[in-house]
Amino acid sequence: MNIRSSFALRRWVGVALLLCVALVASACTSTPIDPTWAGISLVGDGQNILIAFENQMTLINPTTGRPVELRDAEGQVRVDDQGNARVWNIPSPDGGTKFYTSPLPLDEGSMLALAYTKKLYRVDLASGVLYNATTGVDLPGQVIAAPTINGDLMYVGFSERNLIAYDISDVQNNSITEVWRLETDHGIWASPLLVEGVLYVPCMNHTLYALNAETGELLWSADLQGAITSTPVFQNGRLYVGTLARKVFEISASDGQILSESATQDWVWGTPALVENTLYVADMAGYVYAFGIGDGGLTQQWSQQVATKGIRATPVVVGDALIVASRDTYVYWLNPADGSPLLDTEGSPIKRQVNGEVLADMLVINPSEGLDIPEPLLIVSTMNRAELLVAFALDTGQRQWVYGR
Amino acid sequence: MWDLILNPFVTLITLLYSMLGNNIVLAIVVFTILIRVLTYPLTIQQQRSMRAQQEVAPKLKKLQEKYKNDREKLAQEQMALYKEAGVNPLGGCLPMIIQFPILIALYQAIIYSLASTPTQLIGLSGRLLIPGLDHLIPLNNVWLGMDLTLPPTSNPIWAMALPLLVLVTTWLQYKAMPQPPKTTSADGKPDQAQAMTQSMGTMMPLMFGFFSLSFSVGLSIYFVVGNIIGIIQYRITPKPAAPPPSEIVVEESKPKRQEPKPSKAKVK
Repeated sequence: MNIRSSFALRRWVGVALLLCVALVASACTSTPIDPTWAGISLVGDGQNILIAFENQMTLINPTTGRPVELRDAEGQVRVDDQGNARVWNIPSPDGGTKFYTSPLPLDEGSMLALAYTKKLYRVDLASGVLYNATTGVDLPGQVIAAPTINGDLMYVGFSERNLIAYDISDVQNNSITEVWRLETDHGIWASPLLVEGVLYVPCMNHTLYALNAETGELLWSADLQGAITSTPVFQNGRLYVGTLARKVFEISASDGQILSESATQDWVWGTPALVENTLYVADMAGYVYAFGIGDGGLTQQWSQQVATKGIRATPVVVGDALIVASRDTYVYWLNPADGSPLLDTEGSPIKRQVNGEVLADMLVINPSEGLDIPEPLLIVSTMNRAELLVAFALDTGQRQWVYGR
Repeated sequence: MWDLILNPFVTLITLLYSMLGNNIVLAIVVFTILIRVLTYPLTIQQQRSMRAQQEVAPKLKKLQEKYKNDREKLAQEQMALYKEAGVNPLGGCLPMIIQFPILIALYQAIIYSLASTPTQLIGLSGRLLIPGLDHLIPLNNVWLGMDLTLPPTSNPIWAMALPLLVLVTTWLQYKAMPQPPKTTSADGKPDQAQAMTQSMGTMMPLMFGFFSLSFSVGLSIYFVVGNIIGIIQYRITPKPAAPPPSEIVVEESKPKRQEPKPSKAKVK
């Protein structure tokens, strides 16, 4: 090695070192990923799909997969100055507002939209316009989970900590009033469940709270050993919920006593699906479980490793199909009786790939002659903006349409 | 592949968190110390190499003066000198490059452990290699009123002290490092490696101080602790006595064509 090559090598090593420093810097800087996944829900008799993701909320036509066009009183499509059809789309009112929970119906003509960026807006359902876009209503925290509305009370869990019950009777005037609050030392990432005047609040601090929905009085609380990231399911006076402690619990709704529990391979993030007396649970290792429920507690009927990555979304059970969607970018059709793959007419497992991780819950759209939807549809939302929504034929798994931004 | 490094790190931080009273800052401090101790042999090798370069610096300077008009000859003599002294000119850089994947995994482990949003926490799933640690999730990431997952600009005003601390401790660590020999090239300009080291010594504290404005507070704490440990390591590493300049004599090596044996530089 002569001195020139030595100098040249040193120079390249210096450049490599600087690149490493830049790499470290980029690795350390928080990447601008979305804090959570899209909120999707069905709106009205038309089964339009409302998707709230990042800086927009859009209403999607389930037949075409395109944004719903706005129409005037005569039913004509409204057009803008350039002659383009106007569509139901609400952009961020200030450029920085972000939405991850679907708006909730307030009355026949309006909805309430809670932004991750600590604001509440009122939405005109017919026009897709925010009534209070310029001001909004300030909230004390970020909202990840959809709130629950009961008459004039709205229960909002905040992702940092606390749940607050608001009186929303005067929300038309941009005014909401705190009625009571549940103070927690961790966030609330799942919607509270309201059953017969009792509000069940899952919290990341491992505790499931039962509160008097009117007064906020604590009825009981149960330590479930792990963070609770999903809304419990209620049936016959019992609650069913999974936690990050790799367990599924059966809890008495009257006193919070743990009646039975069953271990899973990994975290249980999503809400279980309860059909008749079978509880379908998916975990973050890609396993799916079926538990019988009854007086004997949770009884495991079968378990199968279905996916290569975690399953966060709640399983969907329709007819003879149990459908799960995974972070491994696949949607799987299974036999609810034993978890084996359902086969298509050619004998191949029905397993469909999408272009991104699936984290959001799925939707089912019922067939409708009036809406020109001949067969039931399965709506899957991915983390890839090019395939924010993908519609599959529920029976065959055939892809119908894709909505992307 | 990357998970082979990352997952044990994430598990270790979480384990330390549980052993240290659910204190994430203490966990980061002890974790940093452990990693620094484990990579100490690499650090030692790096320091030895730099000190060895320091030792040959006076001879190198004399060679540069002697052959300032003959770059080829200077190159031969320098390489002979390095060979004689057992110095690898790149020996200080390679251990540092080897440590970078460990450092990046360490940073990411802290980011994953401090997960504060659903998508961040989803990324943590499957990374805890000890099942019993799940009950600790999510870790308490608030310290002194600061949310450790957020940058200083989104925290109380006192969090702005952290970028300043990162800047100061990075600079102090640079000052504690063995400095490369002050040499000049044949044309009288400062040696490239020396100039680069000096400019990095100025730029890196500024860069890391600036980046710390957007790093999470938890990472800034790691940087400060890591820098302090680095300073201590550099201080306690034994320094070999440098030979008095008067004793250094550089002999001209014989050209290979005339001398069958390789040339040697002697130190009397």
